Amino acid sequence: MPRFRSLLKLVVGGCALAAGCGERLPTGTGDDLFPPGGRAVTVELASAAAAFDVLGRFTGYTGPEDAAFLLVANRFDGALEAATLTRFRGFPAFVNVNVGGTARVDSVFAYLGGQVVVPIDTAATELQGGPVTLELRALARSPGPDTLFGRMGVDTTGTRLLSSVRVTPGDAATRDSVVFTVDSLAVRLFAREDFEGLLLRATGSPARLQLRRLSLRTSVRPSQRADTTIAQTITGGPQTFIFNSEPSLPENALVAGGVRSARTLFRVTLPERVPVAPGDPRTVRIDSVTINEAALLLEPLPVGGGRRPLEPVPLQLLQVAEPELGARAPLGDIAQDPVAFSQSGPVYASILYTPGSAERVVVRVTQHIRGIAARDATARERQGLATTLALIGQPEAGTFGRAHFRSPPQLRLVYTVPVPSAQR
Amino acid sequence: MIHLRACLALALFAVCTSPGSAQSLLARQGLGYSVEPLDARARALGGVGMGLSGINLSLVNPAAVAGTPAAAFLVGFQFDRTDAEAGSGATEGRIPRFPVIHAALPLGERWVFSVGYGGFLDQSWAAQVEDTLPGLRGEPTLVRDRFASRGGVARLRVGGARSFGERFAVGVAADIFTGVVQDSSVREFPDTATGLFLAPALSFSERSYGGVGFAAGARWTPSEALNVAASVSGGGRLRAEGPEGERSYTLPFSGAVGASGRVARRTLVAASGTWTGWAGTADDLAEPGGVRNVWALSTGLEQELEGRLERAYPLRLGVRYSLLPFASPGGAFPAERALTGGFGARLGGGAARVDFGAERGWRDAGGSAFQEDFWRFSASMTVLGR
Repeated sequence: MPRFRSLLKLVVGGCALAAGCGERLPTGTGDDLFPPGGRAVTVELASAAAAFDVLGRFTGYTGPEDAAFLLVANRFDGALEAATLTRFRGFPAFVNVNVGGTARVDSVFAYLGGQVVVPIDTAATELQGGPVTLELRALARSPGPDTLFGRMGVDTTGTRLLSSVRVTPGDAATRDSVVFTVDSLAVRLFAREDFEGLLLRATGSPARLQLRRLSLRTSVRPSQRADTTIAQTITGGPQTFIFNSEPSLPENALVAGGVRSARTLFRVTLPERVPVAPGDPRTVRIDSVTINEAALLLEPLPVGGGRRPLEPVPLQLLQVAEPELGARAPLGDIAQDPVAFSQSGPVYASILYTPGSAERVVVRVTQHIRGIAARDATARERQGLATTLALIGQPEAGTFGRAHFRSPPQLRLVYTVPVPSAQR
Repeated sequence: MIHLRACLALALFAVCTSPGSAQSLLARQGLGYSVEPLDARARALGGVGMGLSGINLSLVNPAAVAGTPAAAFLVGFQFDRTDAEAGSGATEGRIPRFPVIHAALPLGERWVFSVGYGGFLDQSWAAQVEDTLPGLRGEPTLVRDRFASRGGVARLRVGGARSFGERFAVGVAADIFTGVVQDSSVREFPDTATGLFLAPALSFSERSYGGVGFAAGARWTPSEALNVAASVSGGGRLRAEGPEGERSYTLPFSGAVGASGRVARRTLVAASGTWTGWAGTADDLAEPGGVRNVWALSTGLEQELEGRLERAYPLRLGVRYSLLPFASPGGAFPAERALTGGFGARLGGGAARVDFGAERGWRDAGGSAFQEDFWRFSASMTVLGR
């Protein structure tokens, strides 16, 4: 009997080992080897893939104070006027001077002349047809949109021209900064606590120039060392820009981005059934097909009012849980497909709308739409096959220009109809 | 206790393994590829599974277990490698499987109870094709379709054999057919140059089989040197239930005869023939014209070499020719030819026997592009509980 048991164990062990051997099914190639109906059918739907309902276009969530750029514009696209305002802060109260080997504090130093440096973001700058003149003006009173915009442009009443620089289209494309030279009186004025600030505006040809933060390069002469100058760079102080009132958002477009962070909320409703083949009147339930791709197709529209983007506009598509709150509806998870997965979770990339391109922007939302199509009976009863999405600029106030897309957009569904089991 | 363990082991295999094997692209055709529940000894003798001398636990003849002196257990293992040409390309398959598991338990001096699990129909195969869809996003898109069917129908045979004297025995058995076949279809979009990045589509369905049949057999040993056996099986219907509904198929009547004769003290010659009436299922099939009645002839020679310590090492050679019931992918009916060989050894003073077999075979269908050749390696172990 022990021998029998040993043999039995040997058999069981051997068989378990053999069962682990890999197998490869004999696989024929060619259509004729598939069972009837065994080839999958992939269908692409666009116009009939979903119903869209735009719930609202909203703006005003951010302003120039949230932007990482500054702007000057002159009749850009015949509409946009903008000027940059700055007030330098951080001037030194004293300087340290070495007199005869002894360090001394000098608080009655004298300012020499200086330069106001204006970095230009050439990728987001456009001069329309000719040169512009950038004027650096000293404000005599506190600025405000009501007082700074006249009928024909930025109102310079009560301002004093300090310096101007002519910028040609060629300069705008190649120069990374514009430098205004100011005299010592101007620098002393800038340093006064009661100084209202500087205004930078453009005149001449229509143009829009996007700028980075301005700085003041100056130097001081200590009272106790007339042969010495000390360089100073002043970068502190508030800087912002103002622009004329924004035209109302167009009704026929999905609007997103811009310095005021426009967004559009829209509802997408999937059909309960989809065709079994292109042009076939027979249909199957949408939850029985495999959605290979779901993509929102956004057709760019021209943007007026001088708000057209000059650089790529990063956008994002977010889920909206409480669309009835309208402009205040909280935004939820990202709806577009991730581009990768890391240990910390999915990685998303912005949707980039490149200005000037007539091609449709394709936003893949396969995972999100799959989730909608696969809702169970309870969820369908409560929500149907609808989802509400928000198209926003991301980061907010990341660009001055906005993106406009035709409304309604299209949802392109590519799906594969399940294959029936082989009939024998 | 030992018997209980043997039965438990048998049950374990019945659950964990799927007898039958995907030997062929012919598994696509009709009800699949017919699988013979033979041990390695029978395979090495060209497929002669009945009428052999000595303990024979191939699951062909219910009377074969008669006279088994003690509890016995057989497990067979098989590995197939197939190269085929069909459709527009060539393919190969490699499949390990257990074609037969069988236990016999003597009850008194004349009765032997047996329960076995063996292959019946194999439906494991796959097809693949690459194609270009012209219109997705207005651009040609490469797709790769793969359809795979995995599984088959197995036969659980429960029966008994009774000896009438030393020379004659009969056996009867009930066959319980069971099986599951899983179909999967995958469409992939391997071409990412279009920028579509389409996710693959997978669909899956499952079909289960069930049915009951019968089998009966007899064994006659007119002399020490001669064994003759015959068996029949059939009856009932094989039901298939899947997502598309239920179908049923007439189980074919099958008759087999076999005999072996000792032409010298250590030389055995064996032969068998079977006939199976598959044509009766014609009206039940989705493609009614693709089935016929078939027969098979097998013959083999066993030469026993005497080893030390009373061990015996039989060498075997055989040949087989059989018609296959279901039409090949091209529509013509195929046939199978095989040359076989193998050897065995008795171990433990007769407490166990191990057998090995190898086959080189060919399948083709006259006038058709279908052609297959295969290598099949078999091993089996028979254990006697004494």
